[in-house]
Amino acid sequence: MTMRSLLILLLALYIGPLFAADELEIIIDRGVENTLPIAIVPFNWSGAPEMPPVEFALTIGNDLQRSGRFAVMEEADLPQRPVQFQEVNFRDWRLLGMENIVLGALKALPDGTFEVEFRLIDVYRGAQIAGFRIPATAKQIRRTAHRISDIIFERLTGIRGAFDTRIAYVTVRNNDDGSKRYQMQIADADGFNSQVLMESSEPLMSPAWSPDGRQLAYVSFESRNSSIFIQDIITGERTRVAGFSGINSAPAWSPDGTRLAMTLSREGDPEIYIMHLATRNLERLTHDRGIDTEPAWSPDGQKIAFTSDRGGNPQIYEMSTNGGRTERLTFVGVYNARPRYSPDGNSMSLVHGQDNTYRIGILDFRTSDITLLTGARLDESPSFAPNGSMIMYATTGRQGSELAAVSADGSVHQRLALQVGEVREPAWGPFPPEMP
Amino acid sequence: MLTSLTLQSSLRSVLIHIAAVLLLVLSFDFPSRKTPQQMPQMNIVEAVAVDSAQVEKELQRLQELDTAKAQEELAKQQKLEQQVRELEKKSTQAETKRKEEEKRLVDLEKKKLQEQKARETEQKKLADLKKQQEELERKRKQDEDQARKAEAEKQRKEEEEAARQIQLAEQQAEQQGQDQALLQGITANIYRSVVSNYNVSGLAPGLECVLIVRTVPGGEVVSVSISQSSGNEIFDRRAINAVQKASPLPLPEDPATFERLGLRQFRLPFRPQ
Repeated sequence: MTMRSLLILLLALYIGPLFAADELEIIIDRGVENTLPIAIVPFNWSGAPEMPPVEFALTIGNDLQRSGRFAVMEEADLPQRPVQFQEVNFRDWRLLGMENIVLGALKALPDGTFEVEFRLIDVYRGAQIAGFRIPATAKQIRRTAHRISDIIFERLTGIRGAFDTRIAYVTVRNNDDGSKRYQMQIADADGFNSQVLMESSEPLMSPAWSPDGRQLAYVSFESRNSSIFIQDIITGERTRVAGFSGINSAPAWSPDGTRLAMTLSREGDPEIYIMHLATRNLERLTHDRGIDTEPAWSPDGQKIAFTSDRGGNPQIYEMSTNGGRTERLTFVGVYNARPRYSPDGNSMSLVHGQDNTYRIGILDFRTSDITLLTGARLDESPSFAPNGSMIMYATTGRQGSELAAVSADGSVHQRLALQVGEVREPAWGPFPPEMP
Repeated sequence: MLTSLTLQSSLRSVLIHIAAVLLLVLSFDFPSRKTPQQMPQMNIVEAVAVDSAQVEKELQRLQELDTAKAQEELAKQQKLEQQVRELEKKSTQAETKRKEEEKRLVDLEKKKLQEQKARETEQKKLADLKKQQEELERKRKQDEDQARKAEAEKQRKEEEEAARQIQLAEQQAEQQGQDQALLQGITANIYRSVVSNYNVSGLAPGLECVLIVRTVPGGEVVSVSISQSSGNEIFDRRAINAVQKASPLPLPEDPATFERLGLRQFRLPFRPQ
């Protein structure tokens, strides 16, 4: 055998296993940031001749769409409308690149209650991811739709859904006599099912949810001076907790619900105080000649961020709840205010002002960069959803101020078409207690 | 009528024949009774030359002479007889000797003959042996020849085979060189195709799963299984969906190429950064 042939054979032996023995391996080290395709098939309605009380598919679809993480298929594009799992033609859905579909049925029971059944299906595996049968009263039926949205959201993103949550906000209407009517309202997170908690001819401001979602703290000017009230949202019972001389504003609940941070100017200029609710004892946190206001608790309850003009213009500062050194957090721009920690504590929403426009921004603590999420002229009062996936805020619309939501990555914007009149200062409530 | 005529003539001819044969036999007998024919003719010529008186005379003379001479002749004859006896005696001895000698010679001859015979036998044996050896040698040579031919054929075949192997190896090397380039291209295409369908939005960082993908020529994905789970259902599902949505993958249609490149099954580790 010649040397050459030997070499070639050796080469063949060397190359050979590359194809034959070793399995081909391709490392996928990146992907794309995409919305998840999902189709919600209209729920089968049975039991009564009249229309179903809730358009389930529409409600769920809107929820998911608003989150910014889903691309919900238009109803007109659905290739089929199966009700049962067995009826699903997976090939058709796969051809459309559809990854997940939701099927369901709403049944009216003889006792006037309802039963909702739904299935979340993984099209490519041809398997059910989740399936539930949920009983509901007429009053709960819409909430049930949001609960289904939450289950879908959690199963497909790994993040707890926040659709079955509520928001509080203030509405302002002009009366015919020129006076104004202020309302503290509470609604589902999608703006439906609004209820008036409190009404006043004097301004109402700054709603803040207790961590258990049972109480709302807010500012009322009903006694001509600002006062901080706490109101039970079920019983309607309300208590004035701060009615000191000067400003009483910007209440914020500690994560454990035992304390309320607030801005008081009873000692001269506005300073941050912490009130121990059980004793109503006050603890002054800031000692500065400038204005310190809009306190926010970090999720771990260890720090408080606030807005201060101590540096010449409004910027955000942070200090320990035990007092001590104050640290400035924002350095970009001439106006950064209204801090709210994200639920995971890694970032903070704020209002970033520049050239007479005010926009919602996110300050990333890891990079110290501010990312602007909105582009309107006057956006204010950002509030995180309890799962951090969205931010609700007030923006200037045709009718004045109205509510809008933006996904935390800024990709999806949605106006919440609510009641007539101005809508201000939304506050996103906590997760509801787990349902039985 | 006709018959009688024929019989008459036949009989006549037989009689003539018998007569002819008898004449032939008698004529044969005449010469055989006479003594030799030439001698009497010569004697007749001499007899004509000698007369009868002279013969009488001679016969007389010869009778006289014979008496004297007979004496002398007798002695001579006796002496001769003696001599003959002696000679005979001597001759007998010589004869014995001769006979002995003869016998000796015969024996010798016999022995020689035996020896000769033995030698001839031996020679024949040797010749046979030689012949056998020659035969063997011939056979051996033939075998050797055949073996040599077979060996040559074998070697030729081996060389041919080696040449074929070299050619095959060269073709393979060339093929593999091309395959490597082809595989690189296919790998890059699969990567692009899967990545573009792999939704990492909202995925928890630091997770990894490994999928085993089975395909058929043309790239249709026939199965995706989890070889190593990330422990996160959503993470695994997104990876599976990425592969399923990418189906058909950009793979060769040609089954031979498909098999050669080992594309029927491959591993996809998902580790987004």
